[in-house]
Amino acid sequence: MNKYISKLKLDTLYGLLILLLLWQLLHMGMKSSVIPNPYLSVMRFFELLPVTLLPHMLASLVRIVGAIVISIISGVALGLFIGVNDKADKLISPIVYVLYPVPKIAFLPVFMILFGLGDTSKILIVTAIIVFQIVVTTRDGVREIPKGLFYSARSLGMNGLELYRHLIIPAVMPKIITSLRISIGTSIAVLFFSENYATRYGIGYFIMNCWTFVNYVDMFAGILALSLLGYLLFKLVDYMEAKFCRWVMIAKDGARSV
Amino acid sequence: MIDVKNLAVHYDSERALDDVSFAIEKNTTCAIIGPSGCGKTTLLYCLAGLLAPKAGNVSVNGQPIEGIRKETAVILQDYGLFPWKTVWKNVSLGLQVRGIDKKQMKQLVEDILRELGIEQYKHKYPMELSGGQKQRVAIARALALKPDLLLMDEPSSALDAITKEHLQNLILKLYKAHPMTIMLVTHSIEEAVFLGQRIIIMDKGKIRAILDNPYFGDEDLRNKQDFYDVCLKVRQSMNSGEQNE
Repeated sequence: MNKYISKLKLDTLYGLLILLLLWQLLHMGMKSSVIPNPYLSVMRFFELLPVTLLPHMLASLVRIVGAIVISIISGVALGLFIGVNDKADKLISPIVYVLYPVPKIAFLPVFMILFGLGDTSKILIVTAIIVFQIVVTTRDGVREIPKGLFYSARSLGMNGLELYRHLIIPAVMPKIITSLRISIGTSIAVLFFSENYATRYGIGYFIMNCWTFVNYVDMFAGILALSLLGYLLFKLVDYMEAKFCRWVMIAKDGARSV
Repeated sequence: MIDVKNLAVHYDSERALDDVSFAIEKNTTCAIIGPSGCGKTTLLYCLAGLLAPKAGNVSVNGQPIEGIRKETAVILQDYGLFPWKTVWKNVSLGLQVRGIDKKQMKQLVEDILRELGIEQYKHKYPMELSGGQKQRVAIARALALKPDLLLMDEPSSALDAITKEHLQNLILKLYKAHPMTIMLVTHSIEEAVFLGQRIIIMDKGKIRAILDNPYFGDEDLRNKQDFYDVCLKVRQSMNSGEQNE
């Protein structure tokens, strides 16, 4: 068993306990129904989970995973392309830089008009927001590969595709994982916002709906569900890192013990 | 085996190599020595087919070099190991790229790891190894290809004095066990004299002198006066150039 995977589990338990403790303190300190009792909320979460929450979570999950998959495939492909090809970089990077800081979320109405009120517009707005991050980190990752490694790869007789397989993709993998981690937080936030419109499914809709009914315990059960969703995606990324970037984990360990 | 004629390489307006010519016989060794920036690494890259010369010809076994040659192995200065691959995968990489079948590849890699005494590290990553161990992995990766020409760029420059001598002894031993032509670039006079049957002295992109080293091949050479005599000769011909200017 990969020791980095088993270590993840202990860290999780510790973090969870601290979180519950803080929630309880806040609940006792605020004395407001807006911060309900954590115990009641957690029980309510499990009660609602099978029939009510699960379909909402599933709807949100499909949208997030869809957006992430599209962003990774297109973002990494474009990032690699402009990272390797200087001419393409000169043509494309200025466009990426201009678009990067534009608050794409403001275009949600435009997306809904162009791509319909359904899942497509929600997936695309999330994609539009996170894809830039992935393009830029991938491109920078390619540029940071030491020149010596390219010589080394070529001296072994590698051609174009083999260079990607043995050198470029493994070298940028840790960067992709990092940008993925950042993207997950962002994508959940954006999704929550977009699910306030034109849908009856999705955990964002559920939370805001409970709010309008002043049902704070249910609302917190929804927040728990959304957090769980984010948490699971986060852990999936950790797992991918432990699996595909073992050398990075070993390097981090080494750096800590020195 | 190696024939270099009127080789020239320019970086922008700077001349890295200028009208370099020499020939090296098959299954001999040659050390190229000179100060930093003298063009010795550029010369090695041209021999490896990693750099295209501006003018002149490089041929190996009568074939002009136009890119990477299958039977040439290169060990780069910083070892050129891939940090994301284990020792085993690094060593097998060249074979994998050449499309050698898995069973044969496994045998070749196991044999070479054993020969170099790094079998126990096969599941480790390069960053978990010392400099000397990394250099052995790089040598294993090169020898796994069963090259007829081995090019080395400063094989021991990053190692401490003791490890350096061990490594030089190892290279000599491997040369005797596997007939091949070896060219190595170094800035250490002792290394050049210990490992070079012929010593090319370079400065400012040109060849200053070519010396033959009759004592090459003696594993005990460092303990003999002859060794220091040749070292002195190399040192003098390196210095003579400086005084002429």
